[in-house]
Amino acid sequence: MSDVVSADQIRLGQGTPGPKRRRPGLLRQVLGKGSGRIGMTIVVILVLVAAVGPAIVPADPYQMAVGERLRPPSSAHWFGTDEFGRDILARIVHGSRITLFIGLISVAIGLAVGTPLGLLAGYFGRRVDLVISVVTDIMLAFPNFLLALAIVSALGPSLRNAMIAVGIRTVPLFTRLVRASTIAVREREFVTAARAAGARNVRILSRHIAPNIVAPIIVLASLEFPAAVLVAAGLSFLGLGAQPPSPEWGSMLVGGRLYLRSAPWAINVPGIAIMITVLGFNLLGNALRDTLDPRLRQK
Amino acid sequence: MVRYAVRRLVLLIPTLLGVSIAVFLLRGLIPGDPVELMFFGQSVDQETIEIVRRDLGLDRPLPEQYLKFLLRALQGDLGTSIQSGLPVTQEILNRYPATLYLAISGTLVAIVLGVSAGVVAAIFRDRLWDTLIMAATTVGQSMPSFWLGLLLISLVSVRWGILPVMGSDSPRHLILPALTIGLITSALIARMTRSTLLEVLNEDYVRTARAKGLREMRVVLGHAMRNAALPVVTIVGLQFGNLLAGAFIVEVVFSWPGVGEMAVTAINQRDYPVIQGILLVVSSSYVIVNTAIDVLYGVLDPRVAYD
Repeated sequence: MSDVVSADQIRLGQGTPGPKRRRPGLLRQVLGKGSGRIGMTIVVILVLVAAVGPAIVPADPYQMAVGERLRPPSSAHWFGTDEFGRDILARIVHGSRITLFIGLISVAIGLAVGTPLGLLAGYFGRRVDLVISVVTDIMLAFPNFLLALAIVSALGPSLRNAMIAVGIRTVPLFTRLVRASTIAVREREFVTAARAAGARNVRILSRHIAPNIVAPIIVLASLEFPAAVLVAAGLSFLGLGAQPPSPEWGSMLVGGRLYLRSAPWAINVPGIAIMITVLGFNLLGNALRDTLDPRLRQK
Repeated sequence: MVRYAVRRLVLLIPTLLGVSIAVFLLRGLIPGDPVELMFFGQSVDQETIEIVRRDLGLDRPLPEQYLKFLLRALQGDLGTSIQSGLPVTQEILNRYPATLYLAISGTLVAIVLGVSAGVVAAIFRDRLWDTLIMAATTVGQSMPSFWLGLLLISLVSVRWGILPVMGSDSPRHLILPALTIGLITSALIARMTRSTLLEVLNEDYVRTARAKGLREMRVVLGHAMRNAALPVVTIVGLQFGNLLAGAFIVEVVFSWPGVGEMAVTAINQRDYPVIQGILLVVSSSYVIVNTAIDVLYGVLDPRVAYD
């Protein structure tokens, strides 16, 4: 996973971590746990559905059919149809791309912005740290969901803005984690050695510190992915994310909620889809955390 | 101890100031001119816009605008709603009690469910009950609150007709939204209770209690739980703070007349004074609740204060 720099190599002044060594069997360790296996299975299926599903499912997710409104699940419509007669299966399959995309983009924003900020704050300390930490603390002073809501309210409701909002929401989480990890690594001997050997800051940060804080970052990213999916689905449900006629799962519940009695499948299918997705990534994230970061392991 | 509490309370001031600056600056993020947005869809000449801009102080430099915003907020003046023309403070005061009421009820449900599930899981560690409860909490943590809420409505209200669907006219209206919030929040509390309890059950004094022949129930509830309570209190407090905002979605599902519903309406109508007011009030409450937990933690566990 991470190429752990062995102290010897640096004491010898080589700086570079030498031949890349992979921690043996990360995948096997994750899959060794029942929860990890279930999580991985769900995630793989989801990715497959998103990748090839839209090509396989014949129905058009946007095609309305007045005569086919709120039909129960049948051989023609496996998951039934919604209030506009659209095939729910097709909408779920097409929507899976949106869901995975939301998770990816949000976590990517958190990673891309939060990690460098955390590295800078943790490594340079002093004024840089003060400024970054104050901003981070202020962002964390907003309740999780409210921060995303605030950003959407400023940018305006749309799927793109919801992704940006959910992404910004994760930035302080990454900054805080990376900062703390960097501070812990900064004082280690091999960093001092590298500095003594004349390595410059950029090199120390990228070659010596970053590789050693990868594990907690991966864990946070894998656990923030499902959180981002939930928050974004919530925003869409409130009408502040994906807009109709998008087959985004959270927004699919908006139309269905008026037909709770006559067409429960219209809310239950997307509801279950969201739950299984979040569950799969949560299980996988937990298994990764237990493997990569034993200190955080839950008893 | 007192020093610790005072330090935490003093730290509250810069945090709240920071929150107010962030809320204030949010308006700068909004694409478009705020005054032109106010007249969106109406035809007004440039002169009127300039007059309104001057009236609102929007032609002044940002720091000056912020100071004015802060001073007025401190006096309880959060501006006027663009949509209703009513003072924002008044509108929030009308709505906030309902949100608090729901958050408190939901938290109570979560404590009862979460702590008992966690205790049972810890006692039956690695046995059937433990496995079942842990599986349930994993699923619970993955459930979108809006779907759970709709599911409860469709079962309890629509199919069985036991409880009212939405609104807030009677205490009976509170049951389903509080249950929705409580069920989801209880998952985390159950996990926390179980893990801290298992940690404490390894302590010497627990062994002593067992050695002197106390029944397991007594040991767990009387001796272990008392010491496991601290982290649980923290989690409960943090969750309560989060619920003040996280309950927004549940409020919308059940048409609960709290600030959440109001916020969503305001965002759709681009009623920025209302949005800013809600953000300021809710995040300030969150910060204050969190500080209160920190202080309480110091009181309950003197070791914390010496950190």
